Order: sequence, then structure tokens, then C-alpha cells
Amino acid sequence: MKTIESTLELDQRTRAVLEQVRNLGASHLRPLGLQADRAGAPLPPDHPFFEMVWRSGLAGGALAAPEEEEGGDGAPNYRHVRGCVLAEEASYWDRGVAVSLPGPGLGGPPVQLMGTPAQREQFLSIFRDRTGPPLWAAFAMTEPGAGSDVARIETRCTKDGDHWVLNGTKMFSSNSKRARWVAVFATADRAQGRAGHRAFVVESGTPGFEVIRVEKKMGVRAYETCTFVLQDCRVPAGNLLGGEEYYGERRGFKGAMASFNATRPVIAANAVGIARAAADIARDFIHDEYPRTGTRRALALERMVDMRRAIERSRLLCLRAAWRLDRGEPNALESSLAKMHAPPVALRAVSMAFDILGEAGIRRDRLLEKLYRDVKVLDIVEGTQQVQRLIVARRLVGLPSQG
Amino acid sequence: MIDFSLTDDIGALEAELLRFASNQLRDRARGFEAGGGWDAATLKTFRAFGVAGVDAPESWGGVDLGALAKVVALEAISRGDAGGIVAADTAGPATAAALVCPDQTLAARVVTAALAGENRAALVLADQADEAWMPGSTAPAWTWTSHSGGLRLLDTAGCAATLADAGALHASGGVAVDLSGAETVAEWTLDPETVALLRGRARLWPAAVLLGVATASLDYGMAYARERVVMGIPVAHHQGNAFAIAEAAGMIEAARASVRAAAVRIDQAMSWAGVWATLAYLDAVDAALHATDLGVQLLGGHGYVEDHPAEKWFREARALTQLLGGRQSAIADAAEYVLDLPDPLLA
Ligand SMILES: Cc1cc2nc3c(=O)[nH]c(=O)nc-3n(C[C@H](O)[C@H](O)[C@H](O)COP(=O)(O)OP(=O)(O)OC[C@H]3O[C@@H](n4cnc5c(N)ncnc54)[C@H](O)[C@@H]3O)c2cc1C
Repeated sequence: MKTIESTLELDQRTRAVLEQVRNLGASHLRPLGLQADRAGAPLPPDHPFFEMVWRSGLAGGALAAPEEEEGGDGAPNYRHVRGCVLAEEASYWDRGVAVSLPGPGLGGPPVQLMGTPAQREQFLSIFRDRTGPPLWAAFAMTEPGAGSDVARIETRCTKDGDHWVLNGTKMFSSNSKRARWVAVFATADRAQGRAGHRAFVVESGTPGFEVIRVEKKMGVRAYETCTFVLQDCRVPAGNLLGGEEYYGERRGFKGAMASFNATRPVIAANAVGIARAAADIARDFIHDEYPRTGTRRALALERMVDMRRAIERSRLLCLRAAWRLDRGEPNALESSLAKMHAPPVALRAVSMAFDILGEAGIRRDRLLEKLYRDVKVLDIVEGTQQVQRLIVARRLVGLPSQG
Repeated sequence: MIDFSLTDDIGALEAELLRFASNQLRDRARGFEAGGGWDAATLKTFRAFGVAGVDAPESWGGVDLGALAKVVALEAISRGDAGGIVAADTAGPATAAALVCPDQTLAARVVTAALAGENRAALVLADQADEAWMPGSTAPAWTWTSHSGGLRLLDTAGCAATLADAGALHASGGVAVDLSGAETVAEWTLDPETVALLRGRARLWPAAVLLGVATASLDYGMAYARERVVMGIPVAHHQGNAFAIAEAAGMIEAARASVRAAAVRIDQAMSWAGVWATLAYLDAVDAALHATDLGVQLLGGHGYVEDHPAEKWFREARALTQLLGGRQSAIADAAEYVLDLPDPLLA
């Protein structure tokens, strides 16, 4: 079998989708992202762009969380590698609009990884039928008092006949206001810590589920990030992902962690895309406006060298993490390494591009200042840089868990 | 002998401005940002402190306390709100050009008008001087442009100014001014050391504001991180964060020392003080970008949303580092002199 060390070429199929994403990026993602940023508001769900992209089959699945089935002969089909390549490209054009695209989004992986075949069919097949209106799903782990410390979530779930009753507040749940359903993590028993975790699909319109706030964010304004409450929210027992028997041996928590192994390389790839966009702006600026010789040019070129190195090595970390996952190999360490490395490096790359542009960089139409605001979120979501360091250090040197 | 204490005058000014910043600016900074500027009463109080002219001669309408007073004052105010200071300080970094201008009568006219709030003056250090980003909503009456051989004064009153949103500093406005058609009022040749002085002194302006922003961000982040408990202990007590906080605090303290030392050297007319000021500016830029990034990070997702000021400081730091040509132009300047730069203390 070929490995990524021996071949670093994209297959025809990936190239074809990449081309589609690139075209969509130039025609829609970038301009709509700038528009949403200026307006400080996300694109409304009935925006014709969503309809268009939904019908084209490109949305969500292709860009963020690919759900294609394995190849028939049992060979890996490299869907996570492809996911990273496409996530990088989409984010190059606009990370905010890419996240706003219809599809299961971050809600997909928990259903895919923890759900029974029947649940996968029930909740994911709706995204395959592109004849109806665009659909979204969302993911809700974070709470006001528990972000990195997922073990401390307080949203309670209690069994009541053939339903579960959910109570609590979830914060920073992206796309949840427009979502058809949200994958919600709750605890059946806080004293059990992570072993008490349960994951549910909470469908929109369920009484007791209410979005109470849309956050005002510094960047990535094209998608909405919300706080919602669950007040005596009754969810059918069939919406407990995996069914009750699944939750022996802390599998609820393990399920969430496994979904991070799939999503972290994607977020890291988003950072690579933004860094690449910044590097291109800087490159064009040097071509167009820098003197042909002299100290300033030499300094700018040195920064370009740093940027190009940072982009390529971050990208390789993402691809390696995704590649291991595609081959069914453990990738928790690799995905944390990618997520730890790429976002801060991308922030520095945007910063270097700023240095190269000087005053020209602060004008919004030059895009760069938006990239500086957008890229920062990638160091926070799906586990901060610090949390990734913990994971890496635990695996490498046995750093003990705290708390 | 070496003495790091501030004079009584400057110390008292700093104390008053810190009070002004915490009582009248800090909690209202979001409102200023949304409203596009400091309100009239705040501007009046600010003017009464004489900060804009603190480094200008008394005969020009200033206070003549020198460069050190200016950096101390700007840092203190910026801990409250850096967003409005760029426009509120009507003289701004341009005073650095006026002070070395061979035609002191003309320079006096420009600065006096700026301090009286009649006509603003701007300074451009960027190499491409066809277009420049400036505070406000219109082009300034005058624009100084500095280049390696000297200094030029342009009449920019009639220049086209298009709104240019920097994504930050909204309380100061912001326009891109087209300088290509501006008429040159006068032009002077300056020796290299004077050019370095002008450019370095001017850069102390954003350096001081950046120090204020960095300090505000780190202080806020530390306070939050001492309260918020994650994985059993306060965020600040996780060693990785404690080290990062210590690192940022060290960078800020060191940058403040460089900025103030450079200002003192300028006030004492020491040779090559301007180059040291440019180097100090670079310290302030690095400290501010680092501290404001950490300031957001310490709050996690809460740092990314408008409920807390961390995101505002993050944006402001990046925008402020673009003023006066930014980091790249400063490094290029410093590179011109660095090989022959004498040790400022021991030489
Ligand atoms: C725009 C946006 C979109 C989001 N979308 C979603 C979503 O769709 N679904 C969802 O569930 N969540 C989402 N989040 C939430 C995000 O995952 C959390 O913000 C993140 O996990 C951090 O949690 P927190 O904000 O509570 O910070 P905290 O956990 O309070 O962390 C504060 C600081 O402490 C540090 N820290 C924590 N633990 C340690 C430790 N042991 N050692 C050292 N440092 C530590 C952190 O790195 C951080 O710097 C989103 C957030 C944002 C900003």
C-alpha cells in the first residue's frame, strides 16, 4: 500500500471537488464572508446561496465532515484526508461561510461514531436528500462553566419512561439556531465524571429547547454561535446515541473524544487555509508594491520564507492525522499535534503578512485584518492549544491528569 | 547615577491619567467604539490634562515635559481606552517631525493649530507615500512625510479621504488619504541621525499606546484566570498558563523599560537615541501582540466574544502596530544603523 511518505499527490476525485470548492470560494465564499463580516451578522438560512450550494451537493458533507462509506474492498478511501484538503481550501476563501454551509457539520461525527445504524440512517440520511430546503445540524458540549473541562458539564439527563428529560444550558453551539437537530452531551450522574456522559439528538421544535442568545463574535461572523437552554426538554429514548447499552466503560466520553480525532485535523486544516490566504496577500503585495531590491524586500522575503515553511509543515501534520484515521490507525496524538501546532502558527503567519503590508494591511478591503480576527478562533474551538498540549504531553511523557 | 523614578511632575500626571482611564474610559470603551469617538465631556477632560502637547514647547501651546512624559501619559490613558486616543491626541506622533523641522516657525504654526484643535497634522513614515491610513473622517490639513534623506510638509487639506475601517480603533475613525496630488509646502534635507531621531521618536507614540493595551489585556486575563476553575484549579495555576503569563509580564516590563529609556535618551539629547526608540518600539509591538493574544486565550471562548474586552484589545494591538509603517519599516530602519550603533550605556 502506498503511504503518504511515498506519494503526496491528490487523486482525480479530490482534485475535481477541490476545483469546485475553489470556484465556489472565489465566486461566493470570499465575497459573502466579507459581507457578513461588515454586517456583523450571519447569512440568513433562506439566503439563496445556501439553496444553490445545497442543490449542488457540495455543502457540509464535502467540505467539513465527509460521510462517504468505506470502499467496498475494505481499502481506506481517504475521506478524512480529502476532508482536510477541502477544509483548507474552503477556509482559504472564508472559514466563516464554510462553517455556515448546510449539512451535519460538527453534529455529524458523534452520530456517525456513536449512533446505531438505525440512528445514523434516521439523522444523517436527511442530508442526502437535496430536493428539500437546506438543512443544518449542530454540536453542543460546551457550557458556561465547562469548556475545556468537558468532564464537568452540568446539563442533566434523567430517564423518565420512554423519554429522557434534559435540563441545562449550552453555550457557543455553532449553527444550533438553524439546526434540524443538535447533538447534545449531558450527564446522567455528575459524580461519575466522564463515565456519566450521554449523548442525545435533540430535534428542533422539541418543547423546552430554546435558543436564547446569539454571541457577538470578534470574527467568523458568517455563522451564528448560540447559547440555548434545555428546560425539562423531553427527548425520545431512541435519540440516546448508541442506546443505553453503549454507555458501559465511559463510552459516552470516549465517543466524544473519538469525534475530536476526526474534527481536530479539519480545524487545523482551516488554520492552514487562512495562513495560505494571508501568504498570498503578502506575496501579491510584494510583487506589486515593494522595491525590487534593498533591506525592506529582503526582510519581507525572509518572512515569506517563514510563512511558507509554517504552512507546509502544518498542512502535513493535518494530513498525517487524517491519513492515520482513514487507515483505521490510532490518531489521537497526531490530531492533537496538528491542532496544537497549526492555529498559533497561522496567527503568526497572518501577523507576518500584516508586517509586510504595513499600513495597507489595516484597511478592511484588503481582507487581512479580517483574517487576523477569524484565525484566532481556531486556537479555541475543539480544544484549545493548551488542551492539545496536555493531550500530547500525557501521551508522550505520561503527564498525570489533574482534577 | 542611574535612576528609574519619574519626576514629580510626570509621576503626578501618570497617577491622574490612570484615574481618568479607570474611572472615565475603561467601562465606557465599548460605547465609544460603537459611537465612533469619545464624547465631548471626555474630550474636554482629556484636553485639560494637556497630553497632546505634553512634549511640545510652551511657546507652541504645549507643556514641554518631554518625550518621557508623553509615553507615560499615553500608556496610562490607553489602559482605559486606546480606541479613541489616536484621534483625541490631535498632535500625535507628528510632533516628532515638527520638533526636528529646520523651519521652526512653520513647525510651530502646524503644532499650535493642532493643539488648539483647529487643524490636524499627520505623519507618514511608510515608504510608499501615495496613500496613508490616518485617524478621523477627513484628510488632515498638513501631513509630514519622512524619508531617508529628509522631511517634507504637504498641504493635504484638499486630499481625497475614503473611509478605511481598520477593524479596530473605531473611536478614532479612520481614512485612507490619497496623497498623490498633495502640494509640497516645504522640503528639507536632514542628516541621518536627525532622520533616525524623528522616526524613532514618532514610533514611541504607538509603542506607548501598545504598552497600555498590552497591560490592560494581561491584567484582565490574569484576573479572570485566577477566578475561573478548570480541571480542579484556577486557569492561572496550570503551569503552562502560569508560565505564559510570566512570559508576557516579562515582555511588557522589558518593553516598558526600553520605551521609557529611549524617551529619556531623547530628552537628554543622547546620540542615536532615535534608533534606540525604534528598537524599543519593536519590543512594544512584540509584547503587545503576545499579551493580547494570551489575553484572549486565557478566557477561552469567552475571550472571542464581546462580553469581555479581550477581543477589543486583540484587534487594537494589531491595528496599532500598523501605524507609521509598522514593524517591517522599523526593522528596516534599525538595520541601517545597527552595525555601528554604539552601546548606549557603556560607550
Ligand atoms: C466561535 C466559537 C464557536 C464554538 N462552537 C462550538 C460548538 O459548535 N459546540 C461546542 O460544544 N462548543 C463550541 N465552542 C466552544 C469551545 O469549544 C470552547 O470555548 C473551548 O473548548 C474552550 O472552553 P472555554 O471557553 O470554556 O474556556 P476554558 O475551558 O474556561 O479555558 C480557559 C483557558 O484555560 C485554558 N485551560 C483549560 N484547561 C487547562 C489546563 N488543564 N491546563 C492549561 N490550560 C488550561 C484554556 O486553554 C484557556 O486558555 C465554540 C467557541 C467559539 C468561540
